Amino acid sequence: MIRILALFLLFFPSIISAESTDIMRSSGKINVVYGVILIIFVGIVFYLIQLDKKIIKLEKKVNNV
Amino acid sequence: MNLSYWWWKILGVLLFTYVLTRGLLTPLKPGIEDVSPNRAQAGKSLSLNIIGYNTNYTKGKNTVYIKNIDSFYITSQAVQVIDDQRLNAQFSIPLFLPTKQSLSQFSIIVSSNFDGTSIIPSKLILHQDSINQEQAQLLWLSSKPNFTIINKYHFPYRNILYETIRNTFFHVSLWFAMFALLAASVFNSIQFLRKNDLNYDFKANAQVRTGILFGILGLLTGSLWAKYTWGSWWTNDIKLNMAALSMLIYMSYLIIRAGIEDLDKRARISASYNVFALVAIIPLIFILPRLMDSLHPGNGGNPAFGSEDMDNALRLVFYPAVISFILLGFWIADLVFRIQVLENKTEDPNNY
Amino acid sequence: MNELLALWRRDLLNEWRNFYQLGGLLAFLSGVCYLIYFFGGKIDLQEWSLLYWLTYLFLSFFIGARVYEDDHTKYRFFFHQLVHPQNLFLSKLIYVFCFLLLINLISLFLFTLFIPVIHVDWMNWMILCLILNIGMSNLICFSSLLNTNIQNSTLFLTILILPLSFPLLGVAYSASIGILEGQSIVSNISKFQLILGIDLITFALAIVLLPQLLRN
Repeated sequence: MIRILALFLLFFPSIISAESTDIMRSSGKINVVYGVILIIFVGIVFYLIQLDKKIIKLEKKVNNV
Repeated sequence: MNLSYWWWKILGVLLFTYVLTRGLLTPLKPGIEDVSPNRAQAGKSLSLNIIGYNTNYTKGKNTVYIKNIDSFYITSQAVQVIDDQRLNAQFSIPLFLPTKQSLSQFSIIVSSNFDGTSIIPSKLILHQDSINQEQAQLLWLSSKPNFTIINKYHFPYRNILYETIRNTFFHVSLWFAMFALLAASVFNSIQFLRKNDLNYDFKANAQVRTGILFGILGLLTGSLWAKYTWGSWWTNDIKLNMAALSMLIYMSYLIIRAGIEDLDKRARISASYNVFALVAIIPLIFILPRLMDSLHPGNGGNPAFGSEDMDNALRLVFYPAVISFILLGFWIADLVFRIQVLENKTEDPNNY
Repeated sequence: MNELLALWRRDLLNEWRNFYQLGGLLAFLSGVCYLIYFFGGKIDLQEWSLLYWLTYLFLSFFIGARVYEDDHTKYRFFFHQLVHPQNLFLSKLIYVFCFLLLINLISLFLFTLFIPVIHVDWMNWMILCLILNIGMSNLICFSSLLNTNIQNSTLFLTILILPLSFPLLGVAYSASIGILEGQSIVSNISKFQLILGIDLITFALAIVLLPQLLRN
């Protein structure tokens, strides 16, 4: 899951530049703002998923003791 | 629910919701997007096509002015409204221009009693064959015309930025939050060195990690913003490169931590490196860019925040945005810290 | 003070006995200069000073890897009973400072010899190097100390030094371009002040943090 997301983030710039340069520039470049918010959101969720995984590990450890 | 435990997290979320709604729903101030033609000859008549942004030309009475740097004006003779975004204004330009040069730049001002006044600076170039300043001063209006000013709540209009001016709330606040986190982590590192309590080290580490996350997000969002305003994903702008470098410095902080097994030793060494790193970053981000040219505001002759780039409407959202990002950052860091403490406890059976 | 001098002399003596290492360094330096001369062709001011500082940076890695090498492995226990670690650090600092200055001089000589396009004001250049080396020697010694505490690998040292030294080298680079263009020191004074400021802060930090690092 994380790897797919990382790959997506890696190619994210090329995806938008290939398909939607005009979309990004239309209507006052408002989509750039949405893009920025999306990046922040995805980044933070990404981080939270990793934290969650750590907690899962901890839970397993505690339950096994 | 324990309010003293939750209040700042709730505050962060509330502020963030406020920033999202206020920051995205507030319209931009009406502005002028483009003017054509942008060259004309003095002494002839000029038919200007004006394209507006966010404007409602059909709803108001519009007047168009041409203005030079020394505040001399001429008024349009007739204005024809094509639609909400398009105007056509007729001028007869006097034979002489109020300057000493034969070529000079002029700004276009549209004053509407519905939208208020908007300006596009230095867009029109006028050419005169012979220079006669005294005559020109009689032909041009020297007093400021009555511009209608309408105080609605909206964000300023900037020509290349357009709607992306809203990114200040997200991109810039990320950097502010990163700095708050890194500063707090240095504080905790110093506390660790003084009191030798491992909890401080975990705190510092958690804050650095979250700071790095925010820094990377800041770089990514900045890169996206730069693509559609400056024209490329990565520019040679000094502040950009310095920010990337400071990320590198903190990456090596993580590498150091990964390289040492012994907990106490790891804590001591990474704490002292952390203090060093922040000191290295301060000149990188705050002092060096000011000495060199930069596209960012506040560097190399560009105006800083507070003078021209930030107006009151922006500030009303920007400050809450900074506070909300800082609070959210500390929240995430707190979670990381608690996970580390638990990890440490489960690894060491004596602590059970 | 006497202790400091003795330690410094010991380092120098150590260097003399391992002269082949110094020779290797010099060979490397002249090799680099010759390469630039051979492949670089005609280069302009910016490239010249960039190459100069890059060579300097690489050589400083070599030094950094060796500063604490022996003292921390062979003589460690016996050493800390004899001298105060702070004095040891200071002596290393002075030693590295001298060494870096030597490298500066030699590489400046070789660079002007092989790539004589540029007229260098030796006086100003040396003042710049003097100021820069205070901070650099500080960083190198500190990172080297950190490194010996961790893994003692050159790679690790590079990771430590490179980002930390960047502000210093960056300012030095832009100041050096000013000097190469023939400007006086006065017109570059803000950059010099910046370098001095970083020197002071790093030095103070190193001294404050040192006891914490060595506590065992």
